[in-house]
Amino acid sequence: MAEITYAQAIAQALREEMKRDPNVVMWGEDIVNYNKGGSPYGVYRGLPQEFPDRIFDTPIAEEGIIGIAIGAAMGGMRPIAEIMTVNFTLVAWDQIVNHAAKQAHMFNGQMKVPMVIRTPNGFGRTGSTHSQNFDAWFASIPGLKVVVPSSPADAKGLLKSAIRDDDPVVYLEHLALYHRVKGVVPDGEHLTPIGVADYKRRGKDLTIVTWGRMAVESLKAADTLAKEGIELEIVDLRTLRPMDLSLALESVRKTHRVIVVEEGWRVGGLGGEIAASMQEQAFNDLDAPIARVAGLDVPMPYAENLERATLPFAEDVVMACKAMMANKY
Amino acid sequence: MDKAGLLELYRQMQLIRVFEDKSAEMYGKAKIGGFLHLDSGQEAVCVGAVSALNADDDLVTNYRDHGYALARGLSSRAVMAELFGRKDGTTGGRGGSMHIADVSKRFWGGYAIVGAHLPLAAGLAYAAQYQKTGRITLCMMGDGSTNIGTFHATLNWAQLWKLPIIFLVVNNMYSMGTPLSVHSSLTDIYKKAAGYGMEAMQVDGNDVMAMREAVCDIASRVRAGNGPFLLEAITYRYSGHSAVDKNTPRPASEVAEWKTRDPIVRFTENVLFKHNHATPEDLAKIDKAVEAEVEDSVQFSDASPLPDRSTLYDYIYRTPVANMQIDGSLIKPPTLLKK
Amino acid sequence: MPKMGFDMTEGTVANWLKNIGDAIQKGEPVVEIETDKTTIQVEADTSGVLLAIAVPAGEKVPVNTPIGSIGAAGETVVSAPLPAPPAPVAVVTEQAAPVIPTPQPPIPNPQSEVKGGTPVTMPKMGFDMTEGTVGSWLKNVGDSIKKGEAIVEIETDKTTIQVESETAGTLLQIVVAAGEKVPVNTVIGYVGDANTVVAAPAPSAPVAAAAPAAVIDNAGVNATPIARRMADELKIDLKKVKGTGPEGRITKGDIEALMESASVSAPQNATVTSATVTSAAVVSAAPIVSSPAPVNTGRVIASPYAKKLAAELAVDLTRTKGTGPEGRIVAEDVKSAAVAGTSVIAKPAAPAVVPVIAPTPAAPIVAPVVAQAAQPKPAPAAAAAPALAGTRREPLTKIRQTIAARLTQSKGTVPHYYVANSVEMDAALAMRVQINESLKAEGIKVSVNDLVVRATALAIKKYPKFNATFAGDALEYREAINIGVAVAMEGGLLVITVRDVDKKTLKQIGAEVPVIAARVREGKGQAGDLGGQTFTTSNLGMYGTEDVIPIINQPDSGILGIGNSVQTPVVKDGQIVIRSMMKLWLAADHRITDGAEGAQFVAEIKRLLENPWALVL
Repeated sequence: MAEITYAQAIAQALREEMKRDPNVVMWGEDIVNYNKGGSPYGVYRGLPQEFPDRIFDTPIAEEGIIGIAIGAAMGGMRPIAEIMTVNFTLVAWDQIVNHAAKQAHMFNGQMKVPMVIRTPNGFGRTGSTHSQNFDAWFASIPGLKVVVPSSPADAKGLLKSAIRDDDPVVYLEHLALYHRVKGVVPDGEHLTPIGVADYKRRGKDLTIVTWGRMAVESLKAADTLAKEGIELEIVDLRTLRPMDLSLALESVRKTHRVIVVEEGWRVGGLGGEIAASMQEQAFNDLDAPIARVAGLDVPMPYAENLERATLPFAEDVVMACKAMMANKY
Repeated sequence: MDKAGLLELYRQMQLIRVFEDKSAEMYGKAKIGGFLHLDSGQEAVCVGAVSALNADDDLVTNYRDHGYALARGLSSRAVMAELFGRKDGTTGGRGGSMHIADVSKRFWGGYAIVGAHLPLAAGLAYAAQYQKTGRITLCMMGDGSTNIGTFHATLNWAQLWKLPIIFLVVNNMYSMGTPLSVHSSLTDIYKKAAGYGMEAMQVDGNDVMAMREAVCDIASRVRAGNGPFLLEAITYRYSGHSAVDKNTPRPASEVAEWKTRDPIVRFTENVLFKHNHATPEDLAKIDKAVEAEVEDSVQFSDASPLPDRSTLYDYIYRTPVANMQIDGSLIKPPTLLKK
Repeated sequence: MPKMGFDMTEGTVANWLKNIGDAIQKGEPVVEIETDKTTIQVEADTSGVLLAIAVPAGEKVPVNTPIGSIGAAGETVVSAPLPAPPAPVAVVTEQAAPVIPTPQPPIPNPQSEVKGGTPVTMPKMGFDMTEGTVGSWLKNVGDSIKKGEAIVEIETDKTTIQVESETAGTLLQIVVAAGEKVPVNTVIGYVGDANTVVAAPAPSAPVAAAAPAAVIDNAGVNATPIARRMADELKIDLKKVKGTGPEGRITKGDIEALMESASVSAPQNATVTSATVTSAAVVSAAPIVSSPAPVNTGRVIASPYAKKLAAELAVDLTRTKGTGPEGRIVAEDVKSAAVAGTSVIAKPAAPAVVPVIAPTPAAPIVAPVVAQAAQPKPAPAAAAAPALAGTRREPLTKIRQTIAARLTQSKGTVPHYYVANSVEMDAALAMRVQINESLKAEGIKVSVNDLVVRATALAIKKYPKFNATFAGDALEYREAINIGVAVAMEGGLLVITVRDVDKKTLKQIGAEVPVIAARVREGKGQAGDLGGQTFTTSNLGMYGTEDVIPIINQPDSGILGIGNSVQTPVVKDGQIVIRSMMKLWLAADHRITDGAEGAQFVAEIKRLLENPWALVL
């Protein structure tokens, strides 16, 4: 049991799976030659040198990165298409939605698309076009699987599962977690099942349903609130599609209060979907309206204070929880 | 090519012609919904190109795909049933006219977003290259798709990685209803390949023999690892872009002129009759068989059941997820909402 | 605009002789009116202050158009919609604020001369439009009109627009004739049922927000969602409510103010007709009584989980105070209530399922009316069971339903304790004879019950807890001492209220009680006749009953059962003597008082009755 970073966990998964299956290949922009290699963020330093015939730099052409990976997957490979930031997936959105997600169903099971789209969410004074979160968009597409790890263990386990999966898996990493989040990852073969949520913390007072970076922020919030006697139960969905709400429902039957915490925009966000599903199935267990903590509905500004104001952090979770515990919702 | 081979080319072209006429008729009878893009007039491109490929080469087309499907040997029954949206269609009624496919014949399907299938074809070519299968990919597209980003991204990429792929541009002079000169800065489309250092040529798409010969030649070069090739086939479609725009304004003289270059007539007169490969009786026999086959495809499709409602969620995912419910969510939808 | 000649149809305001705010004596000239024949000074027909000038000098208006308002200083002019003809010159509310429904049928008001008709008002067709001119009527009175059909053309300084009818019906009345300019929101006509009677307005009747429940349609009125919900629940016609929010939006505060004013300023001439009472009338009893228990009238707002928990813990949500937003009952409140035992529903004997207690209005115990929302549901088992052979099945009347529901709730949820004492009534009875003798000429009789009522009020002054009601987490003390008197009536009983008993003489009480009882029995009760009491007396002595052990009439602190005065041998100073003894049974709410207090309270009543001159001093 070693404690490693989120980035190291991703590197471990890549290395193990490339060793395991020669059909696993990976390409993306500036992942081999740029800077010291191993992605522009140094997620898997040295790996391109280990697999020179299987990890490639590509032209800056996201529709090609994704589209060629789809074709290769149809042809029997297990490609990993890396998109430098989730913002650039927009260029390849047609390939993701019209092909990756459709092939298996539209062609009546004649083909499959076993590929992984790895791309990080993130922000950091990068402005409107480079600081977006499309979790909800991806999660709205039938045919895609969408996973968002929040811990090193999940990062490794979910990536290994994603690579072995016969469906296109959108694997959403996070710049803010790569090198800052450390955690214990089980030794040996560690697979995290896709489509299974996880309790990241047990508590009795209030259920947080979240994923990705906001799971980390929610854990921080839980520590703060615990000092005030409020015990959060944190359900990390881990997979956004197909979504496993069983733990969230189990939890709300205990706590009777739910806040959905997400990084992306509130309007059209997954919080609305989750809240709707939960009230459909656990209405009589709700003691308060399901609340949402989410990003503000504005394009991300560059100025530091405005960026900070736009994004949800632990303090926002704390405030929302306190308000709910004080019956303000 | 022997007589049997030549008559097979004729049969395929005639089958496509009759099939497309019949499908237009069925569209008029509301047996077919949505879009219907016909290959009438372009039969020589389909048959010439496909006949030049190995059976295990990969074939990818755009949405004008019936002709390629039939040339590839998909049954007229399955194709017509797909147009009808029936269970026995090529994709069980899932895809429709624009998405005919039969992976067992390595026909990877028709694709409906202009130019978007080019990267897929390149990916298939990459897989063949990586896995050293010796297969090549033929990726068909229209002239209109040579203006979109994926065309350029894929050509650059394919040349960069020396992928075994033939880009077949079927230049039928119109991008939907927009004439070539209005939609493309370069009207000799094959010249666009030069920007990526890719070899390219132009061929008379209404001459099935020339078409076939060109693809045979190019295929061997591509298969030998010389990288991709772009082939521009000049042809003309008799119908509008789809069955819903029969009246796309094109000069009557233009259509009439192209009809004098009809690929089936030319093949019949310039090859079959001229060199005594066939008699009118031989062809009449084939024609009769083709008519019967197409008629049979309609009867078959009429009789084919609608796809079962219970199969609706099949194949959304190939790898099952624990406890997955039919709606793709792990939680059961409320009973109220169940149909 | 007065009609000053048989053929006068319109007149011009030549000159206002008073300014807004000026004091005016009745008979004093207020305004000069010009006709095509003459100029006449119009005198005020009432004293007061010129509150508003509706038609400025120089403008020509039809006869009967309100041109200004006179009222008391500080009053408010109801700005919209202005009354339709034939209206008096002055259109001023009698109260500072509009009055809302009180336990009475809707009273006639200037806004609803056409009963059931929908007013067509001068629309606001631009953000800066304040008035408009009726260009021409596209329909005549009596024409039938489809919803959405253009009925009138309105001209502004910018444009001419056809106004479409919001309802289907018949054009009942044209209030503002073509060519006239009136302010936005002025009623210009009425559309409604062709059979509708166009009634004359009651002069200077209060502008009531009440309207027949059947025609209340608050859709489209500018009001906040909460205000709209409150209005719907309280059956208030928002079209009659003046909004104080942005752009005249009606807010929660406006509704509350309305309810507040209704509880203090119910018109004196209002009557209750049991046969015609609308649900609006009943619900409005709530603020008058301002009852702490049940705390929730109308729809109970509780979280889904709180409801589930309440069912499990048998907590009555109508009696549970919510601490959540907008008073929502949350799970914590239910748990507290369960622990405190304050709102626990008594387990019914027969059905295994805990019945949901229908929210009941905090109306008097047997208000002769039942709000729709409060109609008690018969127990499921009873409803389902067919009548046995040889049994006649008679559906409960409304009054019996109400009695059943309210007394079941009282007996089931209020912890009663009982204290009894015997009162030597000889002195009181003797005094009563004397009093009644002296009042003979006036036709007033003081009853034994009146004596007890008066004694009770005085005892309450000493033991004010009996003037309190239970409010969940507090006791609410009343200033006024109002005593309820149970009165038998056909089909049931009801409790009339004698107000400020401590301030009234026996003569006043004796005069009042039979009058109130009579008019309530006849269905002509006035506002204040019912509800507002904190303590009730129930006298069955006239039937020879000696012990009357009553059930508390919620939200009272208690009820006194009064028996017959019976000549009884009692031991007095070692002697057996005959005395007229009367038994008093106090049933009291143990949440408010304890037995010792109850015993002392009854003892005080006994002391007062046995020293009856204290009752008249």
